[in-house]
Amino acid sequence: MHEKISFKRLIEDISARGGVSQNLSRLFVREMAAVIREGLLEDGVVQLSGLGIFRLKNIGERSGRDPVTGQAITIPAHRKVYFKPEKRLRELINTQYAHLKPLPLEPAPETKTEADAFNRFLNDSFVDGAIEAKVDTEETPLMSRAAGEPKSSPEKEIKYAPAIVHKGPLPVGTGEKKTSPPEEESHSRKGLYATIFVILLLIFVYMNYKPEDDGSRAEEQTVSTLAPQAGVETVVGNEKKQKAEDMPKTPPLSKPAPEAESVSKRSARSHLTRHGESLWRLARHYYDNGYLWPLLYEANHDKIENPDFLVRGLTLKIPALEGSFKKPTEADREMLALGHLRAYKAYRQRNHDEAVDHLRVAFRYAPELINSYADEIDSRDGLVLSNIP
Amino acid sequence: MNTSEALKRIAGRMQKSIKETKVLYTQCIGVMNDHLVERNHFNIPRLGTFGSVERKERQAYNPHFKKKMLIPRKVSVFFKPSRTLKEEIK
Repeated sequence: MHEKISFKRLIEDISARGGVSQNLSRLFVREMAAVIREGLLEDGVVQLSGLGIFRLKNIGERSGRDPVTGQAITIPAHRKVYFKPEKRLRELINTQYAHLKPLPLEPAPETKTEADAFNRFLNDSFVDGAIEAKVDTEETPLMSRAAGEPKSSPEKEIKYAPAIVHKGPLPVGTGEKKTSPPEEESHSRKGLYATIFVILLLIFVYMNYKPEDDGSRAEEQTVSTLAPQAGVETVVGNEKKQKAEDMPKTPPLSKPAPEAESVSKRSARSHLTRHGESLWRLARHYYDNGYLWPLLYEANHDKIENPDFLVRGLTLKIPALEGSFKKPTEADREMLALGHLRAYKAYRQRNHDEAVDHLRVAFRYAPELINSYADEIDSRDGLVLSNIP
Repeated sequence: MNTSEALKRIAGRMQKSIKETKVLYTQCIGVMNDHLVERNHFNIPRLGTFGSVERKERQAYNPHFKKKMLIPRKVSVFFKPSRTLKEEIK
């Protein structure tokens, strides 16, 4: 192991292995060396199986230094022999280290302190308190560099000094450092909590403010419109249903324009549509019955293009129902019939299967009304009506 | 030049058959490899010195994975050409 083998011993080994004379093996090794030299000079490459590849490389001229005198000299262009062992030989030599594989090095552990991490967190969040704290930390190094100069609020500076002490090796009192980080954290956390609370409050107000506002406005409108007609109402805070009952019962006209007008007069409530709402849901909410949605559609047909699709942000009128779903009054019947008729028209335009059903319902509510609208009803659906008893 | 051509030339120089030369060649290479595995080094006149040395483990940057890697230790073969070979090549 790890020894220098003489040429004599190499020859002995070869002859011992093959059972040949040492002369022959010596001759062979010498001839082999001569052939390798020949081959290098001829081709520049000699490949020997089991050993490796000898290669000649051209090295360009370069400037260097004489190692003895230290003078700058130019090294002339020359050729150099390189030997690369065969893969088999490399593996054979490295058998004892074959199990070792290159490993990825773990990244160096971060030396940043907790305060730094908290500062980074504050930098990311747009909080007033956090920004203040950050500004203070940035100011402090300048102050400590100034050393002697007294500032207007020295206590505050000392408070925030420790945050940057970790970053720069600045001479600041060590006793103060230990006490200050919790103070700073608590201070900035207070700001954080305060802003979160304010944001929540704003969201809460936004959720509740708009509908109320619209409702009050609608109330005022209805009051102002009703006041000259009814002339009796004095209290504004009355229940809306009561208002509807107090309202003069004007029988709806057969034409759609005056009909809408009368409905608008009756409207006791309004509703601001939100995401995810539908006419069915609104009807269920206001009348406790989803099947009354054509009422809403009729009252707001100028705003609603497709009864199946409600855009949010619309202020819808909620017409009051005089009776109930089971016992509708005459006015309710007419309104429902008009609503179903409008739904029928909308669905007929879209070739919806439910169109005929709405026509049937409208016919049930007000058979005489259908006759006045006969020209708007599709001829195919006329047969359906004729079958109804 | 490859092995078969080298063997042909050696056989011509030694005035032996290629078959005999090949046997000698395999034995010679076997002995050399054995010495290299045992981390010995030996000199062949007018050619150079062969040997094997152990390289220590080191940190290196892998440009493919863009990571620092720990390269384990290994043994590598070296060849140092002799003075006469260097002179001839120049």
